Amino acid sequence: MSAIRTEAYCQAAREGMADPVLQKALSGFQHRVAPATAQRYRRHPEGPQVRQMAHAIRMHAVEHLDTLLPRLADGILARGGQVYFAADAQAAVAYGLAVARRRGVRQVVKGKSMVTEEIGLNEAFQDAGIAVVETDLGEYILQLAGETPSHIIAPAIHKTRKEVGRLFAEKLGIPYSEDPPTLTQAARAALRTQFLSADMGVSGCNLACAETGHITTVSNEGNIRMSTTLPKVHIAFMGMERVVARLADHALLFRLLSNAAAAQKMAGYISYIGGPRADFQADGPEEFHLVIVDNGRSRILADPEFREILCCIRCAACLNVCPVYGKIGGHAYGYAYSGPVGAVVTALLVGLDRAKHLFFGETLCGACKEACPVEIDLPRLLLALRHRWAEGRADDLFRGGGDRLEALVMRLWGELARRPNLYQGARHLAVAGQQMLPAEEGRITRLPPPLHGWTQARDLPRLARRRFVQRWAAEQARGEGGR
Amino acid sequence: MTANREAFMARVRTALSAPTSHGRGAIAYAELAPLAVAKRSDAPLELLAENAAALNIQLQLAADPAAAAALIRRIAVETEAEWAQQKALVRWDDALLNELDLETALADTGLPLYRAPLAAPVDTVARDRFHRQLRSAVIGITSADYCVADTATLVLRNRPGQPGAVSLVPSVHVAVVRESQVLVDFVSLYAELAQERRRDREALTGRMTFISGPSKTGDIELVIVHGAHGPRALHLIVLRDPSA
Amino acid sequence: MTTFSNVSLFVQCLVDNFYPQVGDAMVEIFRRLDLKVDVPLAQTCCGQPAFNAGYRKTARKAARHFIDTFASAEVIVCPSGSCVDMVRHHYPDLFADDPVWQARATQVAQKTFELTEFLVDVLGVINLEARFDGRVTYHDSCHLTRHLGVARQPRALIQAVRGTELIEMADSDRCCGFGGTFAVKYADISTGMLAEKVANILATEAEVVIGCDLSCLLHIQGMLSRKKLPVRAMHIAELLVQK
Ligand code: SF4
Repeated sequence: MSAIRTEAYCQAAREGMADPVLQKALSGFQHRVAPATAQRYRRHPEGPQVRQMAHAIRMHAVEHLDTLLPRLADGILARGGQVYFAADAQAAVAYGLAVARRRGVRQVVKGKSMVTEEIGLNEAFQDAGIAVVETDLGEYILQLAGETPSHIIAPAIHKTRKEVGRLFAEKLGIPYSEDPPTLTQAARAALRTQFLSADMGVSGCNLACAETGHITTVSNEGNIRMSTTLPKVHIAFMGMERVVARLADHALLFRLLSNAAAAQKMAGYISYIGGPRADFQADGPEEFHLVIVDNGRSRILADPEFREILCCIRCAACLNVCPVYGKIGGHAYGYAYSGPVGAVVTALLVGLDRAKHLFFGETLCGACKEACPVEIDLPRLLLALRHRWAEGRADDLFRGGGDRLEALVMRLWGELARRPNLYQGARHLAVAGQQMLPAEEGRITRLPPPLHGWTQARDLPRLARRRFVQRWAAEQARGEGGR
Repeated sequence: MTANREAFMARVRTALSAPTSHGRGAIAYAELAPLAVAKRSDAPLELLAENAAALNIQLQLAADPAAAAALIRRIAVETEAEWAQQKALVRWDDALLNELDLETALADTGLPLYRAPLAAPVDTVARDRFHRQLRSAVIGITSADYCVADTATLVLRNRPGQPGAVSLVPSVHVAVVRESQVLVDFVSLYAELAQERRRDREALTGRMTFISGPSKTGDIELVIVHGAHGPRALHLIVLRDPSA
Repeated sequence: MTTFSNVSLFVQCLVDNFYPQVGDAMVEIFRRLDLKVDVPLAQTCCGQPAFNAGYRKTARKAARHFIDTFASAEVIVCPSGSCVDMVRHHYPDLFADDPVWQARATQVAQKTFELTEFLVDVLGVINLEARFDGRVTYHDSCHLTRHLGVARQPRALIQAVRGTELIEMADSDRCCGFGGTFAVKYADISTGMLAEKVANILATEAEVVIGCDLSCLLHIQGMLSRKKLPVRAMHIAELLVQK
């Protein structure tokens, strides 16, 4: 599995916020893509229910994986493809390696795929002496720079053209340029050689179709088509939830996916791949393998509260509107998935304790739910994670360690909340206590730990001497209030 | 490997034995079909023109096959070579393109025009030859099964003489469709595909590709650049129906 | 206009404890509308802080108390979108395994309204004959705008105030970074988000930022004061009683 750095959320978030280039890039990106996506959503002939329709399609698929996956697999087998069901990351990687070894693969070209990042495919191949080239331009830039993606769809948004220019000058030996067309052309030329000489292509799968027995891939650059057409062997990895029941389901989902991912009406290339080349074909791979990956998904599926997250189509629209992501960037999330979807998926995949900052470090503002093309209730899922972390039952698979002190404070607070007299009494203490805090013009300027975070850049008003409710009671007693 | 599959599917079945308690939306899957509304358009060609322009597709109309061939000849002459010294063209071997008689139209230019192998099965020799031609070609010429006006999408399927790579590997892609193949939107496209599948379950073939515009990327500071990996330009020629 | 013989106020913790003047303003508003006001004295907190932090057992305790306190109310009005969201959307879920309490929760949920939606949608009131000379801008709080769908109502009320010019800020519905304990536990991120909000407020050159949720206003005012900026945060109820 790829390295998990979710625990470093706070530190990495601070680093992200301290990087002025990243701040500018994130803000510019969000402001450009998010409103354009929202506008696209409004233009479908199906009207405002279009995202609910998409939700129904995805939920139906998730709830019928028991019949859809075999159907998909059989369709591919019938065309001479091979299908491997991988229980976990190790099994998926091992299968990929076995195919590569059997075919004597030395060089792999790869299209962007989240699940291969999740299972750590590149590292395993490289350890086995097989060169893996990421061919999506953004991913290619990051691979040359030795970095990881910071966005699901636009992996290199944190890189400026100047940085790319210097990188290409150094690694590709071209004269320095900061002109995006020139830089793109340089990558095009370098990668074309790779496409033509690679022995194996690796791709993900966007939304497979069970009815027809095809996987699909989506890209704008054409790199995935190259990777899946030119090499002798094509191996595709898909999370087991990435399938729909019927062909017609794609009519809606591909439109929404294109809107959501890049504010496009339609993505540049969508390919249906159902097997290796037929004998009448002059192109296409001799071998086609589909690896269907569980790696923790069946546990999510088994949980009625979390099942909904499997509807996700990995479009990144939730990242594009998230105010927290917009501040800290994708690296802070410490795993393949970032933003709101990452806060949920990562926690469910790597464990609640390791990823607790991801689902607590969000404000529940709800922007993600509105942006999601399949209307996943991400705030509900974040709340459920918090609940399971704080109060999970002992037999819960998705249980967190909780925090004893916090739980105690909450319990006490709960007692106050239902005993108005105690509540009032506690407040008296607080009103007295606040006099000892440093203040300026009647406003508290420094709070003690653990509340000191608040006053790091903000004041706090003092508690009013008397509660509104007390004042009201007094007025009523004097016979002035109400009528 | 079957044991693997069995164990995997058993886990899925067990997982699904608990009903969904959250996340069922307002609409049920069974209610969807009537909600899928196709756009209507009296002038699909105008709709296509608008969307093609937005995607940087060079759209041209041709009154007859000869006019289409003449357009392609012009494109061939004006396009600059990218990967090889000599400009070459490669085309699908299918009925529509054969009608254009490009061999004659291009004869005076002296540019080589290769044809994708038609005879099945394609042997290693034919395949290697085709791959060499493909690499050296600057223009790939294909037809298409459909063209969707609302998204300016071409639908290509792999059949004998129609390898998808012709629309991908050369620097420039030229596609020719008949006006009657233009559909309004994605909903109508999928309805057509469903129709076809009712007649032939393998109608989609093992490889179907939708192409909406030339290859593009925005990965460097969101600046859109054409020709990331696939064709840097896409010319679409619509052959008018004889009645028009 | 729907009429009620009695409006029960749930003033919400922050108003109750920090900003009693907002409660006074609400009383004044209803007095002007000739509606009898009731403030159940046993009210405390709706339980949202515990719920958002994952402590549903505690939240349930607070919810039961709330339901008991307001069970007999004809209608409940609250000057906070997020508390109404809690009562309206989360209370029924909190008691999913307890039909008796769930029924009671649903009943309370159905008669709980946020102040501006109550005024505009239920009472059909837009003009409260208020007067305030100045430029104001409006911050859409998250739960109010996205979970309750209330964005048009407060604007209509503001625009009906004589002498007030409403200048929209950029990204008015982007989160200010409060998020309850988030503001303390993830203070850096929270402050970063707040700084963006404050910059958008300043860019309007408004003198006052109006909101419908004290939590956001407390948060925003916290930075305005700390930086000694010439803008103040004001709850919409206070604006609506200016003369
Ligand atoms: S949660 Fe929704 S918006 Fe986010 S990536 Fe998944 S599908 Fe897209």
